[in-house]
Amino acid sequence: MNRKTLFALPFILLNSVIIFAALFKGLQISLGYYPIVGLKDFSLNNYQQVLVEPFFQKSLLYSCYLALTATFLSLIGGVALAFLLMKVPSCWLHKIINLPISLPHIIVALMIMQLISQSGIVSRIFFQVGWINGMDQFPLLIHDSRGFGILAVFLYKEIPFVAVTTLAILQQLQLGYIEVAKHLGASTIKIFFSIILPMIQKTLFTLFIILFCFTFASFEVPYLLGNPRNQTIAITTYELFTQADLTTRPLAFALNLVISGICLTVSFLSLAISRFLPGGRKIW
Amino acid sequence: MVKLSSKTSYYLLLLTAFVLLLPMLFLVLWSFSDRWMYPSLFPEKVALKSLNQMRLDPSFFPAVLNSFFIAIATTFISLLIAMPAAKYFSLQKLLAPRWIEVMIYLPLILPAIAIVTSTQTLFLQVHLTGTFFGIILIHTYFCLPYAMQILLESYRQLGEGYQLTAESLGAKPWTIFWSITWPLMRPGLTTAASLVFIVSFSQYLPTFFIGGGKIITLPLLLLPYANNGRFGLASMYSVVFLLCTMLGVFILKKAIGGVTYGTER
Repeated sequence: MNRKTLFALPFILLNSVIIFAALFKGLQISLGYYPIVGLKDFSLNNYQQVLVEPFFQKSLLYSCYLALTATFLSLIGGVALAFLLMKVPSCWLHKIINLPISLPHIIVALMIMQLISQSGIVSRIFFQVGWINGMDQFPLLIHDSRGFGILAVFLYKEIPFVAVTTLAILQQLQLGYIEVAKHLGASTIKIFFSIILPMIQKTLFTLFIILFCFTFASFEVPYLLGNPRNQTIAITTYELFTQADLTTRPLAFALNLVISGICLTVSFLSLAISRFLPGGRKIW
Repeated sequence: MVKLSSKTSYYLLLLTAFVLLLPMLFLVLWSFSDRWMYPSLFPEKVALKSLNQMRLDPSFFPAVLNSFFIAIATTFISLLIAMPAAKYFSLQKLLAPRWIEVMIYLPLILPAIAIVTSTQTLFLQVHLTGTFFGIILIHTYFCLPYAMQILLESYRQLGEGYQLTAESLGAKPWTIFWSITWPLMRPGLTTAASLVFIVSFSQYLPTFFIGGGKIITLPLLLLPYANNGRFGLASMYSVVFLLCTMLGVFILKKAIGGVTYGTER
């Protein structure tokens, strides 16, 4: 082995030990080998149950819906905000936009609760203005079935994150191309889709992967703001795993591997799509 | 793209900043409120009740100390692991940058709940649950992507030129590190350290599962209060939490950043 490879060894070692040991352990237990509760026979029952039972399917679909909605809205809002930031070179406004990135999700969830719950500030303002006559007339935005509160937390955190990341890329771009295109008579829309988008699409796909995987399997936010009847997948796994009797654990591990598989598939598909789109192969 | 005048852009940005700041303002107001019934817009009574309640909680000070200890240790170990790895990845030509990116981001791609529950089962067998070492190990795993991303970019900008020059002039590896790499890497290291500290400080799930209830940190105290709708106390914990992260970042910036010399980058 090359002496220099040793430099990366601790990093690779820690990551692979945790990932492979965890996945192996999960695979073993989910396939029915769990001696602590007397399970020793190999079977695919747990996977079948996780994939076929309506309860798990609903949970998976609900998480997908939340993750896709939050991610796409964050990307659209974030890119728009990045262009806005590029036009306004004001230091203190940029700093405020940066703030939510370093706030933990638990605190943002608390802030959103205080803001848009039925007894929250927005509801109080509506009452004072006279639009509603009591807190029960304010629409249910927290613990609601569409996950509005959960989406609000993710958007509050991720739009600034996308904006700041995209801004860093936009500022590195060769703006000369845009000037040339303008002189040749290209419309703003044409410039955006044939010059700017190809140059930033790789970053956007990386952001898509990170945001999708995070929101898909996020635990704290749906735990605080979710609807008890519409569970997200992380909550389902958590509940299966923390049951007092250990017999539901094999199911939890089967679910773990299924959601890991979904995240990996989405990531590799996104990378493949990004590669075949304009700008995918070139390094800007 | 819509054409916006710079004045409209400014006001739109001002509005965004206002929307972002508003909930933070109410978080602070909540933490100092004694009575704040519906539908009043501002607290009816302002007091330090939540602060006193928090101070009297026997697990409060241990949680602060644990949080700091774990986050500082995680920051130190993450940088120790990420620096040589980032250096190696920035110079190697074996793998395309895209694949390195995937490898670095793997802990962010794989669901945290899956990794944490499996790791707990594994750590239980090797007696790492309920120990600081176990928690720091799993925190490091979740923080490394952030450190790697920043340090990799720093090493790419630094290039190999200075090092090769120093080498050909006969400098020893340690001399090269202390007089070239360290000063030039300081800005990157400070950013990486701050980010890792914040990420580690905010972790809930890994601490909850690997700590096994024996080791309590601030997020572990905060979550139940937020969940039970005890807004005053939860907000006070959040404010203290944020002040602690600011203090930690400040200390790290002073410790690593120090006085900068050499060329501004």
